[in-house]
Order: sequence, then C-alpha cells, then structure tokens
Amino acid sequence: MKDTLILSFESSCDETSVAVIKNGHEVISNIVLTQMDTHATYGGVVPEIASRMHIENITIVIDEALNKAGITMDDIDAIAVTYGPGLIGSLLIGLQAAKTLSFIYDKPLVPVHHIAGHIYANNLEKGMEFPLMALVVSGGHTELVYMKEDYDFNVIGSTLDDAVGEAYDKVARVLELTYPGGPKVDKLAHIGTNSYELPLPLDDDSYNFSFSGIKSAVINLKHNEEQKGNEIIKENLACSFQSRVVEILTKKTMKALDDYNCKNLIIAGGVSANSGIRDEFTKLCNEQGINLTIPKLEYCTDNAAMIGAAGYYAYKLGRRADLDLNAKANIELS
Amino acid sequence: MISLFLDTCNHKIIIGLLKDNKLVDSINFVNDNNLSEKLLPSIKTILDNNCIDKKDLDNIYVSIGPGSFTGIRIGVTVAKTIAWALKIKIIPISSLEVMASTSENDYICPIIDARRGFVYSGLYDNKLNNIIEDKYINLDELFNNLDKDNVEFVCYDDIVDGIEPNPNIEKIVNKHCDDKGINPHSVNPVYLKRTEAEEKNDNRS
Repeated sequence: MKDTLILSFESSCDETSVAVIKNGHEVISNIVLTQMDTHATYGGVVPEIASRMHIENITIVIDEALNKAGITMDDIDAIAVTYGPGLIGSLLIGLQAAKTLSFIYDKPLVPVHHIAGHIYANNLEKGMEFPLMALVVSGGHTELVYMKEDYDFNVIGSTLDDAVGEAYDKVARVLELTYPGGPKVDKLAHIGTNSYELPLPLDDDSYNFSFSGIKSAVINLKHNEEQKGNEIIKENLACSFQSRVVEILTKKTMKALDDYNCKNLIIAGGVSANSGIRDEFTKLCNEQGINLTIPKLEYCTDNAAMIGAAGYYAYKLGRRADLDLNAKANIELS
Repeated sequence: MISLFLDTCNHKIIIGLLKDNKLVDSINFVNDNNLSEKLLPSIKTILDNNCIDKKDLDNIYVSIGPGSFTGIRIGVTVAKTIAWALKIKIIPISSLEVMASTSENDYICPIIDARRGFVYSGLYDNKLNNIIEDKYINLDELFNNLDKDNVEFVCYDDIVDGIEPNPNIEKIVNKHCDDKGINPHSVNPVYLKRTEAEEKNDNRS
C-alpha cells in the first residue's frame, strides 16, 4: 500500500510546530519552536506576544520540517491543522499558513481538534487498542475521553473550572516557584512528605474534575500558617497537593475504566510528564491488568507530530475543510 | 507579469490583481470579524474570475501595518506563505502609505485610530515619498507638528476631518515595482506599538 504523508501544523498556544508524519505513526520530522523562555519573563503566556512570535517563525518552521524530512510539498498527501481550542491569535497563524499551502498546492485540508492530537500522540509510540480511555491533562485541559474505535470521541468527564496544569502553576506561584512552575512542584513533592491536610477535590460519582477548591485551600493554608507565625514547609505542601491531585485523578480514571469495562488507558497532554501521576497510574494499572500508554515527553507537550497522527485518521475518514475554515478558541471534541 | 496586492490592516480589506502593473480586478469587503474565513476564498475568487492560475503569480505586495494586529497578521501570514511556497518576490508596504495613495494633494497625512487619544500616522507627498516616518503618536502632538492647512487627512474613522481612504493600487505598485524583494521569512508585521505586557515590564525595570 502507498504511504500517506501528512504535513501538520500546531500553533494553539506558545509552540510553533510543523511536522511530517507517515501513515499516522511514523515521525519523519517534527520541528517545535517553543516560546517558553519569553513568556517566563511575564509569569505566563501573553497571547499578543505569542501571536507575534508565531508569525515571525511560521515559514521558517515549515521550511525546516520539509527539509528535515527530505521531501517537497509535492510528496505530501494532505495538510492537517489544529483549528481549536486554544489562543485565537496563535491558532490563526498556523491555520492561515496551512490553508495557504492547501490552496497553493491543491492539497486536502484536514481540521484537527487539539485534544484529538494529544490523544493520538500515543499512536506515535505504539498502536492504540480499542476500546480505550484517555485521560488528557494539560495547562488548558483535564478530560476523560472514552473511545470505542478510531476517531470516536466521547468526553465522559472534564474539569468544571481550572485545568490540572493551571492548578499546578497557581500552586507553584504560592510556593514562589518561577514559571512554568508545574514541573517544579512535582520535583519538590518528591522530597517532601504528605503532612498538610487538603480536601480531595470533587470527590463525587461523576467523572468530572474541579481544581479551584484545592488551589484556594493551598492559598488559605499558607496564609493561616503565616498568620500563626509558622513558616510553610514548601516541599511538604507540594507533596500534600500532588498527593490529592493524583488521588482524585486515579480514583476517577480507574472507576471510569471499570464502569466502561475498558482495559486500555492512555494518558496525554503536558501534565502527563508529571512523575507523581505517571508512577501512581503505572502501579495501579499493573495491579489491575490495565494496558497503560503514556507518550514520550516530547510528544506530551504541544507539537505538530501529534496533530499529524490524528490528522491521518481524520483524513482516512474523509474529514475535510474548505479555505473558509476558521480558528475556534473553544470547540467540543468530536 | 501577474501581481497580487493585499491590504488587511484596516476595516476595509483590499485585494488587487494586476497584469504588468495595471489593475485588472479588485475585491473589497468590510472586515466583519470574518477576515480569517474570507481572505483565502476571496484570493481564489479573484484569480478564478480572471482565469489566472495561482502558480502564475510573479509577485505579491502586502501591507504590513500599522493597524489591527490580528488583521495585519492574517494578511501577512497568507502573503509570506504564498511567497515562500511559490518562491516569488514579496514587497512589504506600509498600510499608511496605502491610505495616502488615495489623495493627489501635495502632502497627505493618513491616520489610523489607535485608541486612548493615540493614532498611527505619518506624512507622505503625492509621489508617495515618506516625509515624516510612520509612528504611534498622540493625536494632539501630531497636530502640533503639522501645517494642517496644507495637509490632506485620510482616515477610515471620523477622528479627524479628512477623506475616506480609497487606495490607488496601481500608484502604489508602480512606486514599488522596482523594489528589491525581501526573503519571505523576514516579512513581518510592523505594529509600531509594543504589547501592553512589554510596556508594563519596561516601566517596572
């Protein structure tokens, strides 16, 4: 069978990325230009600065992706692009560039949902087995997605307020850690003990999550301790916070696997790099005979390779967009 | 020689198609927050209507700002991607110069509202030579520096008493057709204004 090459674009936040993916699983090239250092100055992503940096780099990144793959546009079968959700000004750059190439070279344009990309990052590791449950955890998302087959997404739970990565970044600020603070909280948690009492967030029968309560609890706890003249033991607070987050993520995910009689779990999104989350899920899945896949770190954070992986299946299913495709800040996974 | 002209920096979106520097067709529409949807389909329409294949484009003129940040970026992304893909000459032009081409007055002052009493403006003569460079400036300060009686204002908004822009695409293209092309990677918006985050950060340090 002839190989299918997808040129894919991802620019939904602060990474400008273009990739060439073969048959939905083989990364031929994946250029990721991150703006993290720039945004670190401001303690978080500044949308206008992100948009400005995307446009300065977009054609350079396309050029590099094709050069590194050693191919030309003529070899490409289709162009896949993240059209949402994300920062609208950022999304627009990748979208316009992708649409322009689709127009100039008469290539099919395939719209890809950012979360579909995160889930299909797993396909770059090993083939996905269905039915599966996907836990998507990132700075902007916390979702449980049940899939019976390729490209059949059922979002069975999501966060009602903050995304888990957002909560991590806010707790990092309370602990006076610099942006991006999530990984630093994870690191600190490993040398601390679970000594502070924090609530288990949204401990109910649903598959939904809520992280604003535990974030406020951390802020209040620090405030109260300081009022009493006690210094906060940062590593212990990090550990207590992480323990509760991991507890609720595993509790709801393992329940969902059980309820849906599902034996395959994949974890996706930037926060899947968190070692507390990885370790606990690995342990539980081993105990319960669940087949767990977590993509390599480079495919967990935003990248175009994952969009190319998802885009391949969308392409095979005949999903197409016209030149009037627009970027959407918010859009449901379907 | 086939040329495409794009200006997406203001409310009025302008797409021009030229053969040997003569305007053969143009599409104008008001950007009703739908530029992202309409720009490429409109470019396709203007080429199709004139039986021109996109691969026959020889060069592209693009207005790079100042103006609406998002509007500029949509036009410039499309233009630089076309130029990169087709390996054709791309010529960046100030959006204020584009506006100035409306008038044949000796001196022309195009003005774009930048809110909070500020504008983007510059001064051009009727050959489109730039007399006072484009800048982000307080409106009162701009007026103080101009001999208002001898200047014609061109403005989309009604913040000054001026004429409505109706750019003369041929005039702009004829002024710039001998310009050296720029590497598409280096064609970027000229905002004339830094982001609020950068300004705040500078004030702090």
